[in-house]
Parts: sequence; structure tokens; C-alpha cells
Amino acid sequence: MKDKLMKLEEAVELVEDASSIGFGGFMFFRRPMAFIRGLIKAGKKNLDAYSLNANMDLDMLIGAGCVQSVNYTYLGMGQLGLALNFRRAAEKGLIKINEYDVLGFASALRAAVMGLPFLPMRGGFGSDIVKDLGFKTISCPYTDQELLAVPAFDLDVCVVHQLQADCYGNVQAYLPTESTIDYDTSLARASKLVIATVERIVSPEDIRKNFDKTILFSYEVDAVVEVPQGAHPTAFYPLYDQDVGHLMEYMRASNDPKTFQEYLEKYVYQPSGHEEYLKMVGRC
Amino acid sequence: MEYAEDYTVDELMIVAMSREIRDGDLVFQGITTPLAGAAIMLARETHAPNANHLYFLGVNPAIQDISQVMVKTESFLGTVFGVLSISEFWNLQQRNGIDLMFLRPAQIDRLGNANMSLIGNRTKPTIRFSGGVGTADLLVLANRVVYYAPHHDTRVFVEKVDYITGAGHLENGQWRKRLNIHSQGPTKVISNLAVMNFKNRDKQLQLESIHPGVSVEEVVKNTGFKLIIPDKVPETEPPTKEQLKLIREKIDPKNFRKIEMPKYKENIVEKLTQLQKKHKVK
Repeated sequence: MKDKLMKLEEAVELVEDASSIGFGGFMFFRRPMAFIRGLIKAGKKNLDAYSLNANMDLDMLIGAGCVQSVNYTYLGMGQLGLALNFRRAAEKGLIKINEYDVLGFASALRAAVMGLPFLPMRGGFGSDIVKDLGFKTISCPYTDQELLAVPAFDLDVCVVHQLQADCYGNVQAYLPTESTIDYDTSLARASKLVIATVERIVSPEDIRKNFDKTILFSYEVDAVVEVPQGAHPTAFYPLYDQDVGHLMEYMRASNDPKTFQEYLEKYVYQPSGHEEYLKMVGRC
Repeated sequence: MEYAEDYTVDELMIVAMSREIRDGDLVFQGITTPLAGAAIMLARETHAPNANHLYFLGVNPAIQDISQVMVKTESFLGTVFGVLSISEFWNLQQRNGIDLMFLRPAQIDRLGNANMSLIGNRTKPTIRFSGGVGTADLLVLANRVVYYAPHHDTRVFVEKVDYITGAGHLENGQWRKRLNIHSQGPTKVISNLAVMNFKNRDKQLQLESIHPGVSVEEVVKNTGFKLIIPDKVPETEPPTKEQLKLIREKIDPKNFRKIEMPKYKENIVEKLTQLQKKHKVK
């Protein structure tokens, strides 16, 4: 088996400008934030970014000027309010916005996972969402029931952040049954290139010992990166909690493009890498 | 059964929403919706003990202080019987497994269309919201949807929504039949002023009851289209003493529900930070 362990900066270079890229995690947990900071620092441009239930991941990439389109069902900061970089870019018409309904996003993702060109869907009828996404209708060959035909996603690359992996790319979750793990695994199985960032690297023997925690296998993972606390400031249940103080700082900074640039300067451009970032946010 | 007298409007809304839950319903609740959460908990504790409560992907969280269950995305772990994988949740929706969902749209129109996406023009909107998540699907696939609107005014209740995030009763209520969609779509709207329904041929929004202390004129003035007013408009049934006690002492002693009420808006972040800091992951 091939050793796929690499540095964050090397993995970031696997992402080409103008790629379609999916991000794992859900709301305020398990976001691949270290990788996202890496993308920004490397100056990636014109990405088509996908995130089922997005918040800081896409908002930060938008604020840093890395994306040309966002594809999501929700893009907001939950109880903290609207995602402000997103809001500004949307209101100025700077990026292409594809808001999906949940089953639309799910069907597009699952079609790709299943190797099908499209999946029929029963949700979404009558909404401007399915109209704007251009979903066509088909009729069921057995019952004539009208259905929406959701085209499969075509994802060049995806990034998920999980508990641990070996150097070959066998990835394990803390709690494989946790509700949104299968969003991460679907994303991986729908993407041509899969990057897994993990809290820690373990030996293949450790993976075998805990085989019931394996969620992705070596044959479907292309790069493995060790970034402890790599989801900060989002949470990694149950290792660490979301950093509410930092999220508040993010909210204040993203209120204005100038202060957001200062935020990026301080937390993305200036630190030499992930380790220095962790020192800055008091997590080292 | 004795009615309470000293209740507040959020408590009245919770009770009105709770009455929409039937025993045996599977009710789905989204994240950041404590009014809906309190209504479901209240129903489970009173008239609908067999209702099933899906909070995000957690099944039947214990009936307890909702701020403990809902203050953070993962706080429900440890209070639920188990967690659905997100794929299973998608499957559940598509096979019409959800009986009822509460939604709080930014705009609601005469035909019950919901907008949670944007205000103004879609290519250059004046406000872009966070998005409707499952709104478009649930309005087709959940059997019933009940809207709630803690701030009833002409910005929320509009003649035509700027964007149909999810469809209500298009084609004067005929399109569900035409497309062979069996769900009822939006059945009620519960605001801080009144309860409304769509119980007429064309499925247009119609006043059902006004909250105690509110006049019909006040509701009309705060609605941006011609609301159908029946000859007799009763008062909304107030909370009972038992319901109020359950809300205040068991379900929401920390007033978490208030974060959805307009005048608390400025304090939301501060209040949440306080609650989140106190909350420890189990």
C-alpha cells in the first residue's frame, strides 16, 4: 500500500484553481478548518465550493476571494446570525449562488456515489430553488408520477476532517454512527480526489484493532494530513468544544471587509503554519 | 382545567403550536428553533404522549430544559434514544415519514408560499438569508407544515414572496392535486397576533382566532395583503395553568425560547454565549 501521508501545504497543492471541491463537517463541528486556512494562504482561486450545511467554511473562503460559486442548503452562522462575507458577496452579485433544497443536494451527492447520472426526487416541487437549479422532470415509467431528475455532482476533490488514519488512508471516526459521518463518507465516495485531515496518525495495527471505527478505506483516500485541533474554531466531539470566543471574534471581523482582511492577516497569512496558528489561539 | 392569566406572547404561541401536534405524529424540529422545541415537548408531556420528536437527527430527546438539549448542535447527544444517520433522515423525508414540521419563514404570502432565501432581486438581493435547508422538500413531503411568525408585520406577511423557497398552495390550491402530491402543505400560521389557516376553496390565508388583547384591525393593518376574515373571529385559547407551569418550570426555565422573539434579538449572541459557556459536553 502506498504511503499517503503529507504536509498540509502539500495536500493543499493537490487542489487546482477552479476545481469543484466539497467540504465535510456539519454546522459547528468537524469542519476541515486547518485545510481551509491552507487554501486561503495558498491563494486558491475560482473554486466551486460545496458544503451541505455550511457556515464558517464557505464564508471564510468567500471573504478571502477563493470561490466563484457556492453550493449549499444552508449557509449561515446558526445562532450567531447570518454569514456576513457570504451576505456581502451575494448582495453585490460577486459570486454564483446555488442554494439547494436538502433532498436536491442529497440526490446529487448520492447519484455520484452510486455512479448514476441522476436520481429521481420527490421533494422540492413548486420551489424557485429547483427552478433556478434547472432540475428537469421525468415521469415514472411505471406509474407516470412526475419526478424531478437531479443531476449527479461532479466533484474534483473533497476534504473531510476525522479522528485518525494510518499513513495508507484508512480513516476512522470517533463515533462511526454519529449522524453526519455518512455525509463525509458520501462526499468522499462522490469525489475524484479525497483528502482526509485527521486529529492524529495511528499505526495500521491500531486501525485493525479498532476496525469498527473505520469509515473510509485506503483505496478511496488519496492524501492524509495530520492536523491536531484541525477543526478549530469548530468543535470535534468529544475531543474539543467549539471556541465560542473565537467565533465571536470572527463574527465581529467579518462585519466589514477591512476588519476581515485584518483577521485573515492575523490568523491565516502571518502564522507560518497550523502549529503557529494553534499557539495564537491558545490551543497548543 | 383552569386558564392562566399572566402568560406572555411567546408562551401563548408555544401553546397554540403545541395544539397542532396530534398524538402519534412524528414531528421534525430544525436547529435553533426553541419555540418549536418547547411546543413539541409540551405536547409530548400533555395531550400527545405518543408523538415522536425528531430534534435535528436525534430521536425523542428527554423532556427537560430545552436550553440543555439545544444550545449547541451536539448538545442533544446523551438526551436522545439514538441518532439517525443523515442518509436515513433523507430517506425518512422522501417516503413521507414526517407528519409535521414547524417553519419560521422570513416571508409568507397569501397562498402560503415560504421565503427563507432572499429579499429583493435574486441576482442582486438586498438581503441574502442563510437558506431554506429542507423547506422546499418538507412542504411537499411532510404531511403538514405549520408556520410560525414571532413578528407579525407587513414585511413578513406579503402579497407575493420575493422568492419561493418552498411552495404553499400554488394555482389557488390546485397544484398538489394536479401533481398527485398527497401532503397538505401549510395548514396553519401562528403569529404573535393571531392564528390563521387556509380553510377555504382557494387556500388563501384566513384569520382563525386573534390572541387575547389583539384586535382584528391590528392583524389586518400588519398584514400586507387582504386576509380573509370570517364573520366570527374568536379569541385564541389561552394557556392553561398546567401548560404554563410546564413551560416555565420544566421545559424552559432559562427562557431559551425568547431568542426567537423580536425584542430579544440584540441579546441573542450574549445570552447564547452565556448558555454555551455553562454547557458542558457530556
